[in-house]
Amino acid sequence: DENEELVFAKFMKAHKCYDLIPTSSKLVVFDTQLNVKKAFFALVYNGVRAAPLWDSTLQTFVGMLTITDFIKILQKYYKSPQVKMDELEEHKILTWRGVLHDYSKALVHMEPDASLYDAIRTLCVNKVHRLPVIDKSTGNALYILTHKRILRFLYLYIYDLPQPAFLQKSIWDLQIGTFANIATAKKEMTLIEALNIFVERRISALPVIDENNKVVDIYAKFDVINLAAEKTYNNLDITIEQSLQSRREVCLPLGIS
Amino acid sequence: MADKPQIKIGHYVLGDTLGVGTFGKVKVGQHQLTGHKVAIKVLNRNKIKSLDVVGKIRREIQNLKLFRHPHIIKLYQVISTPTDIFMVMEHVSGGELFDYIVKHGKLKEHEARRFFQQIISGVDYCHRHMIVHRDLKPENLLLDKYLNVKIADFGLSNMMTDGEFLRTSCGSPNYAAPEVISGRLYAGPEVDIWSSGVILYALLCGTLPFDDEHVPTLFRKIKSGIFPIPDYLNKSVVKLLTHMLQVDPLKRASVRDVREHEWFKAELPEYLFPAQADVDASIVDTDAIREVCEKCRVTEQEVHRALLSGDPQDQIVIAYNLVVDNKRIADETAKLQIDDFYLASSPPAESFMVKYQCGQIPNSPLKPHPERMPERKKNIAMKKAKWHLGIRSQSKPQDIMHEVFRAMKTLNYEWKIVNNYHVRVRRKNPVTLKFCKMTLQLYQVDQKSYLLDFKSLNTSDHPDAAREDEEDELEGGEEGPHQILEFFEMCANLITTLAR
Repeated sequence: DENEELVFAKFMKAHKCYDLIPTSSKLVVFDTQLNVKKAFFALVYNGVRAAPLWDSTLQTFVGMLTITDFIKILQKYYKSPQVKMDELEEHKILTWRGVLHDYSKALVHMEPDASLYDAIRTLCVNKVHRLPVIDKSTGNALYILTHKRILRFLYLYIYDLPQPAFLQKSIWDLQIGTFANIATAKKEMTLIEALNIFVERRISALPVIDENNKVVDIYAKFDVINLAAEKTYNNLDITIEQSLQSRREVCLPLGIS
Repeated sequence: MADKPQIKIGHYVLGDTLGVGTFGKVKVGQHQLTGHKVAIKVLNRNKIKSLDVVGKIRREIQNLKLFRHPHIIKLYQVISTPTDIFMVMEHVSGGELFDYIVKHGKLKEHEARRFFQQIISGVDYCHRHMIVHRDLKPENLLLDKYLNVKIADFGLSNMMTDGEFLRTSCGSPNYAAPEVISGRLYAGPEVDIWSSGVILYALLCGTLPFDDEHVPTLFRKIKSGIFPIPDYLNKSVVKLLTHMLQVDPLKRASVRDVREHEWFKAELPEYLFPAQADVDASIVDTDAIREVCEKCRVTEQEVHRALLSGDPQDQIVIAYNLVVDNKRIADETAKLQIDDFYLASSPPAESFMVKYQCGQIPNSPLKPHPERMPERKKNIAMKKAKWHLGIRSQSKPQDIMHEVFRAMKTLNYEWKIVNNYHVRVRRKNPVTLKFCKMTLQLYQVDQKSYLLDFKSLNTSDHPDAAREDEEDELEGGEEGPHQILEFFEMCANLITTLAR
């Protein structure tokens, strides 16, 4: 039944971005004059994963700062544990955007009245993961929309909706996901190599495999923010295994018996 | 420890004995994969009424699995072996209410009421589903880590042979109703009211209303129904106690009487007695019937027949009502999830950080979710910044305002004076050529300090904003407004200039 197949698309067309915005939430905005290193620390400090960028000279939002920027900076300027990355220490967000040639691109954003369907299209077409919702009449940034938030919203109502037949199929049958040419990382891979893969292949996570090609862990882009939290970004020659080890230590505070 | 063989019940590894209850040992069990803790009650079959007779008892235990109430220990699973029955139940970490009273002595009235309301809520739920506890006592009242009561062992007394019941009640008949110790065969919901009355007394006084080392004397006291009333007890609660501790079961308070009592109704959380939806009992819920068929392994006809029989004690009818009730609770939970979706989406930074909750074990093979905000290492004793918008000063108010005017002049802001300590300010946006407006007002905070408060006038819903509009005829550029950030910039510039 074609109608049933389209149930999710219809659901997304029937709801607006506004419908997912929490009653109260935290939004952090960075001025492009801010030092990039401070900005990454501020992401960690505030527990947010992305921030819209405000350009005071242009009096407008010009972009987003995300963990991907942090990865790209490290990947571009890292030489060795002995050499300090001056660029990370001294760049303003504005300078960094110049390096990326991000000036020309307009900020991808949604209006609160836009449908979720349009938001999802925008996420897909522009290959972005953080989509700011900006109210046109006030010019205020209201929220940063993510895939996860949209999925959670769908899940709230999913049992009230007719169940399309494809939900019974396997992800393999539907070919959702990547099934060929998967980028993986051996435990011994250095962090800088992993960062290079993130940037070159435009992927969000690397399955970590052992000698027998068995998946033992996963190293995600998100793990990289640990380097900012722990201020250990000066040595990217450590292996993924070592880095994941410290993730575990962070996760298991002392004193638990 | 390693050489000790592990005993597994289902997926749970049996651990230490938590306690010995009326019905057998209770051991802790830990899920071999998730580390999830449960309490496992081991019932020896010898102590249980012939289980295979018509399967009535079996169905009763099956029904217990359908019981779902925030203040009743949940029964997850029942596993039978030829010698024992294992009941896999919810594990709570707060200990027994009994120990809590022993440790804290008599409780404050509101604290006692909170516990009591939770107990009555659980008792009411069970009674509505045709289960009487018959053995309520503080040892059967457990606490979770948030100090919520969880009633244990509901429905178990029904499985004991008649004589067994009292003999095994561990020599603590202090909570038993007069008709129970008199050995009358029938014990209905009113016995739970008596026990709840004794528990309420214990909560409020830290002692028992009927107590004596000599059991026959104790029994005499219970049958007399006379108990000491300390002076400090509130008159209203004394009335409730005497109504609940009536020797004559017919004169004793019902759950309904308790619920309607003024002392009970004070500070009563709504969730304890959710409004019953006006469900038309003559309409059967076909989904619920299907679920009953599945859970109790009966046919639809059998369910229909049972529902039509009008026998509220019929186990199939009870199962059906439980399923309907659970669906209603599930609907309410769904509503809560939606509330949560809009509320809890902006956690403080701390909540991004991985914290181990009680009951989780560190060597669990489950990995923490990789996408958690990392905790800053070494627990730097960094004080969380408190956010203020405004400036505090201890200078004289005239001097403060003087500085403010100077700063505004430097910044090319324009202003109108409302009074000596209150000005309306505007700044022409260099890009949009539109005005951004705010007010500044100086307040006295205490004897010697003042606060300069900033307020945006950009939002059109502000009452002061409209008045400005008539003078605001300037044509702007292409760029739309950015109310909040323009206001922030205006404040930031002023603060920086003042700080120079």
